[in-house]
Amino acid sequence: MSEMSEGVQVVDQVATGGEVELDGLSKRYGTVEAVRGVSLNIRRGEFLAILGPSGAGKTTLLNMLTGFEEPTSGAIRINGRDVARLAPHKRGIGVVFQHYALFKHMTVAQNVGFPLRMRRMPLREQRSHIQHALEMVKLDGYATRFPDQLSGGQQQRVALARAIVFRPALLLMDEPLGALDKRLREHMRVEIKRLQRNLGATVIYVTHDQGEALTMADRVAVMNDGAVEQLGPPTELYERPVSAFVADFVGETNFFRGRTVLDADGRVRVVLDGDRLEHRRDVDNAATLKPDHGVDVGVRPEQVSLLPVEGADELAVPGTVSEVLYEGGTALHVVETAIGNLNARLSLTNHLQTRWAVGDQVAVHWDARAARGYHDASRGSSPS
Amino acid sequence: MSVDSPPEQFTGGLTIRPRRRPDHRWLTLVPLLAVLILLFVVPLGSLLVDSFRGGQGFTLENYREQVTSPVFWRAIRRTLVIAALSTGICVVLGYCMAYVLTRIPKRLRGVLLVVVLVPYFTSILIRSYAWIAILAPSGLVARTLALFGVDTPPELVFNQTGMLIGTVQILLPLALLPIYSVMSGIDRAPVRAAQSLGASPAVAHWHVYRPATSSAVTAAAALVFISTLGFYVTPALLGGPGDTLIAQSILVQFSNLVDPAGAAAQATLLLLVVLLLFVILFRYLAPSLSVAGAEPTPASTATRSGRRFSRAAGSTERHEELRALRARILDTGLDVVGRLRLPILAGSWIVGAALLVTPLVVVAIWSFSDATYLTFPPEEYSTRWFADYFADEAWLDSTFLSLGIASASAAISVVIGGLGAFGLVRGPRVPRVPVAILVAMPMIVPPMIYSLGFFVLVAPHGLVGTHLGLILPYLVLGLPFAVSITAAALRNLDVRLENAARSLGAGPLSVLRHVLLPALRPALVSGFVFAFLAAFDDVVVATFMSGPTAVTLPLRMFQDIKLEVSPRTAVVAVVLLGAGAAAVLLRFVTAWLVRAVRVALSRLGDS
Repeated sequence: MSEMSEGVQVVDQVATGGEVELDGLSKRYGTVEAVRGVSLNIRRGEFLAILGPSGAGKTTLLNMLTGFEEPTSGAIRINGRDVARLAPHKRGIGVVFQHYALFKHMTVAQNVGFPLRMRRMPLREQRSHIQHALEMVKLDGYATRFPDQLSGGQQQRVALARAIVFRPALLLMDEPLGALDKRLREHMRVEIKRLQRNLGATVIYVTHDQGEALTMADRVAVMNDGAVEQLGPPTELYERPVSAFVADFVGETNFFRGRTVLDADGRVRVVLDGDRLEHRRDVDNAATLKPDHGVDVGVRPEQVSLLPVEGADELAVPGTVSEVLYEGGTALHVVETAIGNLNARLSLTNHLQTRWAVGDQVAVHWDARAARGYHDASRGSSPS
Repeated sequence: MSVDSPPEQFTGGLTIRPRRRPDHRWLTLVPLLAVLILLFVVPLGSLLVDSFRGGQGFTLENYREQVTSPVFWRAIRRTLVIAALSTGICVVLGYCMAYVLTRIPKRLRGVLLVVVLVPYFTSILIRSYAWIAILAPSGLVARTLALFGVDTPPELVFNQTGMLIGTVQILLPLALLPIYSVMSGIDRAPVRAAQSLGASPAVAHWHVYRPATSSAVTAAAALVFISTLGFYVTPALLGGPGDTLIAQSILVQFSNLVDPAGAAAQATLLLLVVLLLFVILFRYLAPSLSVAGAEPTPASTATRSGRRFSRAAGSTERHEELRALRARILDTGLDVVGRLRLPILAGSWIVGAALLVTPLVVVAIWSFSDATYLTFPPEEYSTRWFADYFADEAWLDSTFLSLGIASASAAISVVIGGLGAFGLVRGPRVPRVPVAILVAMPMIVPPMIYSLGFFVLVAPHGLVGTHLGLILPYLVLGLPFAVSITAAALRNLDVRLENAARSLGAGPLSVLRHVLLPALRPALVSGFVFAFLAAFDDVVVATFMSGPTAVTLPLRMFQDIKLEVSPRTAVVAVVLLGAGAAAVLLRFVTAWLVRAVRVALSRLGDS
């Protein structure tokens, strides 16, 4: 990769993403620490989602990546070169902004050609690059239109084309689908994923939408209170959340308050508040829990089964169905029990499944492998 | 009828009406249009007629005489040069200053806005007068330079330099404010996008931010240019004897050379230029003038640049390469300028704030001077000029006369203008754009032209030197402010509020009293303030309409300054500024008191 005198990188002819390393990135405003020592290694061609509620520090992190905020400490290395203190226009990062930030007074072609023009690329070359980028986002034929004359989805594609046309080592996306309606959003997920795979681009995708993060990303970093709370592939995140916050923010979780005890066999088990004292329950992550501490036990609603009271397992919790919410293929059952209200999502396509009605007495059961205990009290609130 | 009258309307509501009741809301436009036509259009029309009047009926002789006169041409050339220069300086300075305002913390922005707004509301006469004290040979600049050993300071006043400095100072807020109001609504995301795509800050600003301001910049330039074309007070005070601009030239032609027809011809020519400019620039001026429904649509701009682009697409390869080269040179230049952006922006505020604030500070200090002649800073301080002012019956008479006349004309402006605004905004089938243009005209047409026309029309009827003769033209000058401010407020007021009140049984008068007046009160008050200032700050109308019996305060100040430059006007300025400040303060204090009493009463009620 060569450099111009202005420091703007010329277009990288090799269509591969770069390797990106965030190293102890922090940002302090006065006494408030918006981002606290974030370290992430993003592999060449990896799609990393940064997921978190508003106020988690996503925007600050993003601004440090794009160069509109200078980190208080830490480094951002793209292909080994620290760009953390470079001006935004010298970083060569492709950014797709939240509301596209298209140039209204320029045509689609002029918008897409802008980064090439800034890199002093000869016109003839520019034209073929623009053409190619527009083909990639399926917008060839729209070159002479103005952004105002395009639909939201098309504008989104222009923003994408503009961000990839100069083959940046890193592609940053800031809630790129936030302004689109639901159906289009789901369609664009597939499109962006396809584009990323074809380009082999390294992508950092910032979102508060867990659906986007889980479906698109190779790995997801869940941010809370300025720090990365958990980093891992979507399945790991969903199935083995490390904290009550992650369990609650990603997907839905029933929480039961309880206390850990050290059993005679040396294993930590949990006694739930409101449950019988001799009911010592196993949790999947027992090895990580401290004995004799308060604990929240989390179980996903789809992991809960409702059984007839007769002949139920002795660990099953008796309860009464107080609400049944039909969801199509599933139904959400709200059950009142001694350990608290809980949700059970039951499949309606399974013929063996008993259909429960409001007022029915049931035995609530879950597999010990589906239950996880958390010592932290902080919980996110899922936006869905 | 009031809202709480017994519900006899129930039957009224149930009556089946065979056809829609005709909507008479447009009738509220009648007084406004009548005033504008009788007191504004007719005087200008009669001026036009006069300009063609010769010994034996219709003649072009008056025009021939003016057009062949080298004196007239010199005045025109001088006016155009001063107008172009002050427009350029005001727009560049105003643009930089407005941009700084959008990028600084809120608190500092408030302070800097005050720096712009206080001079903006201060009398043009007083601000021009202050420049004499700053720029004159015994004034601030010369004496400061003398401290550094410069014994022959440059001549800065009573020539075109002084005229230019004064004009820029007075019109700078006029350029800055519309640009600022557009800039504060611009989304910065595209600028950031441009930077992330490789554009340096200056390049991003030029290609992405600046285009969004272009129509506001054009509007600001048009406002400054048109205002300068008709400027009278500032050039008359700060220019030299030979430096007459057109407005002065018209007055000289009329009163010194006693050639009303010639003056009418000159006025008509100037009017023609101003109207022509107005028509050409109307698209840009419309938003600043708050003309209903005449804002340029985004679609029109899109098609415009679309045409530009398709033209580019059809051009040859070499053409395009050339354009690309030119763009490259521009971008390189911008990169260089961009490195200096912080000093440039800071410098704009240092120069701008000095221009705006210095005159006010100088006036305040000067009023305490002990000297009878111009020397600044004063060698000795005293309050003798204050004592002098409060003991002088003629000055006090003028002060009260001006207060009374400006209040009366502003009050009538607000009533007629407020009614008219209602008809303009809410009336069905009103040709909004023509009416709005007519309403804006008194603000656009140079006061010298209008005053001349009005004077020539009413002089034979004994109105000169009477209160009515002053109130009528001031009423006209106040109308654009009263109408545009009220109309803007009405457009922002949800019409469903009025409909709701009507559906709840309120008649038109109840709607006015209980819904419209409370909601529009701030607009009506600021309309009154602007209309009041338009009258209270005027020298030109007074020059024609004041007889020996009714000399307004600005006219007395103007004549006093022309006679000898003494601290007397500074005293008047300080008294007026003090009164204004006291009024504002009093308003806050009473509002605070009312709130305090209310809180106390509610506490009593609770316990």
